[in-house]
Amino acid sequence: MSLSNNDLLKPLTTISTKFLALVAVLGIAALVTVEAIVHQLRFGLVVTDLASWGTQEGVTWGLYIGTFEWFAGMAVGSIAAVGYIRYRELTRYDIIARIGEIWGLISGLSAAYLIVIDLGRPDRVLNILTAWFVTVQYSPLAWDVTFVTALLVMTSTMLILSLRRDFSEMNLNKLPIYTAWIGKLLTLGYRPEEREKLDSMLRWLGLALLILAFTGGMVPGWLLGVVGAQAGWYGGIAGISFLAGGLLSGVAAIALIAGVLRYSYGMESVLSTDVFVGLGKALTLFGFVYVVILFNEILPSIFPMAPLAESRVGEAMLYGHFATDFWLAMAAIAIPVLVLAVFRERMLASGTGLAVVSAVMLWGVFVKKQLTVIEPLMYPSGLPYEVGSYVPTLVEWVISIGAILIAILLFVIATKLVPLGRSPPGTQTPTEVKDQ
Amino acid sequence: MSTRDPPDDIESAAWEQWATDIVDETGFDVDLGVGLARDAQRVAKGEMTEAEYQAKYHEDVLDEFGVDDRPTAPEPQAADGSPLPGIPGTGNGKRSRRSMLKTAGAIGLGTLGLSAAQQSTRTAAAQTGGGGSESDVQMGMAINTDRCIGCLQCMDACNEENGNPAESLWMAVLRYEEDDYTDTEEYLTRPCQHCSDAPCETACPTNARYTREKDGIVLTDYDQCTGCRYCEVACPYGVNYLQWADPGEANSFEGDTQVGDRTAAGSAPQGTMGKCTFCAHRQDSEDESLHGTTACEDTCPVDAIHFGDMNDESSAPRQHLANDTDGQPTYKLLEDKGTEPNIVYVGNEPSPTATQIDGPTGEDRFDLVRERPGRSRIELGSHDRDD
Ligand code: SF4
Ligand code: SF4
Repeated sequence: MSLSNNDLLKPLTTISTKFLALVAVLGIAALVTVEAIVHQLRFGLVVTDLASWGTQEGVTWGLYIGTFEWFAGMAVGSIAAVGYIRYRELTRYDIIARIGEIWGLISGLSAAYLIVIDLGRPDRVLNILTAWFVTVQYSPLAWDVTFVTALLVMTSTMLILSLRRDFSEMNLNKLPIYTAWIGKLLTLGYRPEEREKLDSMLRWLGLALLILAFTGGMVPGWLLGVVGAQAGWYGGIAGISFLAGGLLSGVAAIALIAGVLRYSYGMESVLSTDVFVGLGKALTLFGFVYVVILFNEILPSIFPMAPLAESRVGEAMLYGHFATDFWLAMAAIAIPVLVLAVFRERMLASGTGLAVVSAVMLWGVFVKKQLTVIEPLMYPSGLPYEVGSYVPTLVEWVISIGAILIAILLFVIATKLVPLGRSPPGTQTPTEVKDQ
Repeated sequence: MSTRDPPDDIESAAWEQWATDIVDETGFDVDLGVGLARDAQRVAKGEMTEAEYQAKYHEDVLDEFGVDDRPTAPEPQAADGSPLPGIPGTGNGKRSRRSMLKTAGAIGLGTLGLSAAQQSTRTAAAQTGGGGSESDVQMGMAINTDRCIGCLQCMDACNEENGNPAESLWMAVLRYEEDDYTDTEEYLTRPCQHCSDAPCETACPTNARYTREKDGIVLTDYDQCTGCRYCEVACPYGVNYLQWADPGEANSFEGDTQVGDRTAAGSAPQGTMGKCTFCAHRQDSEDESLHGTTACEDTCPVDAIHFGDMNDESSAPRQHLANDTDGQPTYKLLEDKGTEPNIVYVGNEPSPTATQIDGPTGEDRFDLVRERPGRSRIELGSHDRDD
């Protein structure tokens, strides 16, 4: 018992130089990002390369919205994983659920603030809330705000309640002082009789998260999918496509984090091989489904019978302007799927292989999200406008990549503040662990 | 003012005084205006033919306005050799010739069933409460692209009128060519279509984009807009222009930005969305002669743009559609998008494969530009390259 517990608490109880170096690097990246954000706040969106589509021959939504869609997808995938694990009470995956809770929350927050950064008047973001009662009846962007808010509220509730349960099983005195303090706060008024109720709440909250992921989780896809003006966005598959990409990237993010944690803290005892096998299976399935859906989305547009506007977008993607990016992104998803399907056991034994594969897939989804956002705006249809151009500026790159680094920084800090799970009750004795 | 009843006898001193007062308000030549009005009455009564009427004042009207686009004019004025494009002394802040002609029309041309006259009559009726419910009014345009000569004066007039920076082309004239072996150049005069079922409005998460009840004009509340640009991606016509940079001096709108209880006229402040407002400040102006006019309409040297109430048979656009299409086809842009646009075009519809060309006049002629500040220069032909 004590060994697995120690393994579990390793991230909390140790602080290595490598860790400090990582935090320092990420911290500097965060500062640079903040500087870029301040720069943009001062001068406005003119510091980007965004421009109006039409006569300005620009792309009005770019890197920020693409990165938003990527984070929103990861948030959806993360909460789906959390929901499934908590609802089915898969105790072996407890750490995975915790990672999902934290990463889902961080992804949701990152998505939310990227939207604000993309606004021409970020100071007026509250207008979206004050007008909400009216606009929620029709504006997909208002639905999106609603969804992200629901996601944040439900995920933090899940995190708080599951932490309450986990802390209640721990000896707070053995934890670092700040963690103990959080533990005390979260277990305030905890009575052992409440345990049963807490378990069932987590279960039902899990179901609720699962339902949210599979319903509201399509909203960021609809944000584009309902726009009849843009060939390449409009269509019935946008929500599904977003969801599939979300499931893939969410689980990939979790697998990547799990692999890194296992590698750096030697958490073999609590992150067992079969957990990675499970994650690998999920990734194989989600990756495959996502690729199938993407080709369903794009291929019809290049058949000779397709409408002109659609085919312009499809052709640019498949063998035109964006072909290199598109095929690289596709390869980054499809090849890992193949690798996973063929070499599963060997690759996944350590979790490191899965982490690498996950990182590649995440990059693929990231690129595809950017293309999805940019392309229809670049290839306007209907009126005789020119093809637009878009070369993101340094500020845009710094803010977008910075958002990712800040998210990682937040997660890294979180691993030092809260436990990543609890020891699976009664399942793992020190000897069993050694045997594995 | 316009509700005052005119004396019956057009020869009487009382009529003269009444007409003088009204024409005087427009700031144009009083004698000419009163004469126009009096003879228009004669035409109405059958004492004078339209041709006589046209001929009698042609020179004077040309002198005063640079172009004679009275509705009785036989054909577009390019035919008579007046210097097109680039007519001096029109637009750019000066009271428009059209508003004066409309006033003259209000006095005299009404019985001819001519556009401007009816426009003012309708306004008068609405003011006296006799014009039915307010929401029956739907402002719109009939744009005759067959007449358009691609001079881009409407674009310039629009930017001057609304104080827009050079790259915010609320009115844009797209010059294009069809791939149909005819090598004909065509022009598409493209303001916001002020759609009755506007997707931009449905998209807006802050309720900033709205259609006003009074006359169906689609506007942006600059105090409410967050600059999210969802309206822009939702609009199939590409008419929205975010104010990307601090416009500084460039935003030179001097009129009243207040439209009803919202701030929605003139150029968009930084970070908010701008687009054609159908010169909402004119429609709400205390100066009634500006009602029913837009800067682009006023300045167009070939009378291609006709602005007014689309639900009123006698309005300028409806009259143009009824009488002046010269057998040209009419259409609404991208009607299959279901936006119910309120601009009706007369002329050829651009096909989806049309490609842009330079046209006779460039934006640079008026210090207008296409590219957003800070972005690289735009060159035409990207479609060709990419296809
Ligand atoms: S043309 Fe575009 S901006 Fe204008 S009302 Fe229609 S959808 Fe809205
Ligand atoms: S840019 Fe402004 S007007 Fe357009 S959708 Fe966003 S908030 Fe509404």
